Amino acid sequence: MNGWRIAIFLVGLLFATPFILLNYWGFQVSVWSHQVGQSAVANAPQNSAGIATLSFGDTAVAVQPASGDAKASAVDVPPMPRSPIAWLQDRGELRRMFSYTEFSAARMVTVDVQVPFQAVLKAGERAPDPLFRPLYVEARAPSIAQSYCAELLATLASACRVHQTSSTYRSRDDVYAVNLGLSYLPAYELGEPAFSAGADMITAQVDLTEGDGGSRAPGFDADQRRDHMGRAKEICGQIRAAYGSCVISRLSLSADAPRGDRATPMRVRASFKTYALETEEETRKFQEFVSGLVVQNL
Amino acid sequence: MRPHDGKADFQDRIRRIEEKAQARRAEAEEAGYVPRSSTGAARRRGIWLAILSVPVLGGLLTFGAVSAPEKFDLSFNIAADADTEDLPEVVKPASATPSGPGSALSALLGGVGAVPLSGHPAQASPKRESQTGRVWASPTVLNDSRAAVAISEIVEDYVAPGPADMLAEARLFDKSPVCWFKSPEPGQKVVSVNLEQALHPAPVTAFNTVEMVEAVTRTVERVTRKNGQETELHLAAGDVRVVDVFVTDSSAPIYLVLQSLAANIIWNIHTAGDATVAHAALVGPGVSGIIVDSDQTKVEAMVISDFVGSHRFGADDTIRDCMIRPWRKPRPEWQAWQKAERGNQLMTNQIESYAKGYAAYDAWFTRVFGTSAAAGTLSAQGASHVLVGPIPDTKLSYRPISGAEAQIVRTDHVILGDADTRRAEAQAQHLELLTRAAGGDIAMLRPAVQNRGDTQ
Repeated sequence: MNGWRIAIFLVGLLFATPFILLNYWGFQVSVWSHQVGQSAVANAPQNSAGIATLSFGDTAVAVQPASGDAKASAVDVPPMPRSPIAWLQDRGELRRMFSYTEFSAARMVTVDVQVPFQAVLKAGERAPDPLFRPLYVEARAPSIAQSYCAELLATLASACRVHQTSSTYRSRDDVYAVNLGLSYLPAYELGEPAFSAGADMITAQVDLTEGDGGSRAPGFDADQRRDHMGRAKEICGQIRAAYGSCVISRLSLSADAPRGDRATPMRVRASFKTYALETEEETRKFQEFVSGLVVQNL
Repeated sequence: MRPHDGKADFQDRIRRIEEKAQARRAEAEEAGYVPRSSTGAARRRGIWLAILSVPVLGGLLTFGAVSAPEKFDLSFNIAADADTEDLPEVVKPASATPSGPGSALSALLGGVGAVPLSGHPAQASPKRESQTGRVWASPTVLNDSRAAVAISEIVEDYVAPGPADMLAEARLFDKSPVCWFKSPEPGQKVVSVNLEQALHPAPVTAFNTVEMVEAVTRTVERVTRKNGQETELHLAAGDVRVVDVFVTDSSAPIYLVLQSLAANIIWNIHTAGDATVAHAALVGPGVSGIIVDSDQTKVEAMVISDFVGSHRFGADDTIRDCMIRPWRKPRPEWQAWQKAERGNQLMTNQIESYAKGYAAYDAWFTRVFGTSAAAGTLSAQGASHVLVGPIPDTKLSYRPISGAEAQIVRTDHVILGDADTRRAEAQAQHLELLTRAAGGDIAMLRPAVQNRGDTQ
């Protein structure tokens, strides 16, 4: 009989656990909304007397005092507490992001290139009927993608895997626009995420080719690509030094089709992530910091 | 006096109660009474299953958040992780052993004209009535009187088609490049058979190269665009059906117009002693075919998609040249008609669509054959057998499709054989194209992981 009682208790506990967690989350959300209310009080002193009466004892959280100019005086709104389920899911993503041994779609290098059909044929291979050509390009795109792995391995990756590829025919230029996605294992220090309440991955997106004043030669050669990959790695190292962690989550290299004999310049966009307090203010500061690093590293 | 022992007394009472209960159960079972219904047991199992599924689901959710090394530390070892480097095979077709050299009748690459089939599903489990009319499933025979006629009243040795059937031979003929047929000659009687679906599979797989390229492209995209999670070899449908047509009308040489809106059909024509089929005009969505007794029967065929684009609501409303999609005339006994009368707007639209499509088709039909598509028409949503003329006095001898010689519209890939052979051959042809497209090695659809040490 005791065995049955224990079993029923355990089953009941299993059923009750989500409700307990969700109730706890609900309580956290209540506290958070109170914090937001307090922020509003700080920003609107004329209403503070009225709103302050809504605060409740111990759970009231001290609001940072407003300071400085108008922009800085905006009180940092804390992030809304995550539900236990979302938290659980995020742990897996976070773990993969900082893993040196697991490939992840969260760390990708994408290459967008325009290739004429002849470029996908092997030496001496006869071109098939036009009906088959989109299929050929689609089927050979992974091989094209893999050819870029050498550049990743020479700069920022210890291993490289073709993640996904796709292609579209552009009749205007008679070329195939090929999108290649490579996931990689980092060959640079990621740092350690300093776990704390309200912290999560925050992102800064920058254009590594913006602001170079056209100093870089147009084209899409391997040396230029390696150069940009190296710069991204350099910038990430500086982010890690300042924030404790950094991941190059996305590096997108693209080039339009050459216009006649004239090559078009390459565009390189990068997304850097770090683990920090996930607030609008922190994200804005992080974006400004990374943009500054891009200019420094031109 | 025996000292009072409360515990022993209680256990004694429990024992007596249990003995009485057992005696009652034994009596009930002897009387054939089952105390617990099977429904109750199933319900209890269901409840337990639901209870146990909760921790299992929770476990799965948690497992995703545990790091890979920790997973292997757990007592249950789950080998596969999507992101590990130990990648599975790229494409795993079923054990496709290409069949003998005779099974691939033709592989005529290059002559591509048709667009893919419209994609209407073949009716697997026929029902008696449908939204768009009656389904005349075997053993009933679609006939002029609309009364129930059984196949056993027409033939004496009917054999239903099966997966082991094989055509003896197929002669390919070219489809019509123009959107008209030879006009009926004076004295010939035009009889129209119009089915949306056919119910029995024919031992033929036929598809054009465009369809094969689309299927192989689908296979490639599932590997390259979805991070290689799917490795199924997609095949062009190539589904062909068979319908028996028994011609007993001997009043005049018959000009048969055999039409299908959605199914590729091989029409298996039987003629009674003095009946003749002078001409057969086939209209279908893709591959059509015919089996006839006499070489005197002239056969022509048109593929709908050569002249009319894929169907969209309202696309066939306009009367115009070459509107050859064979819409059937709506009838009051259709379920859709009855529902429309009761105010169902969806069915009202469907009936209107059929009516407009039919009007446009009828205009083409009348211009080509000199008679309305409604005259002398045997029309149904689906059928296994069709009777043209009266029930014969003497039963016909049934000629099954297995072992017969068929005439089939020329298509890039026509495969004969039993079901397994055809599938294996179709797989081999698709795999060959896939390998060629991938540059000779399908493993390159998902290249191996490259490590820094590999290149240095």
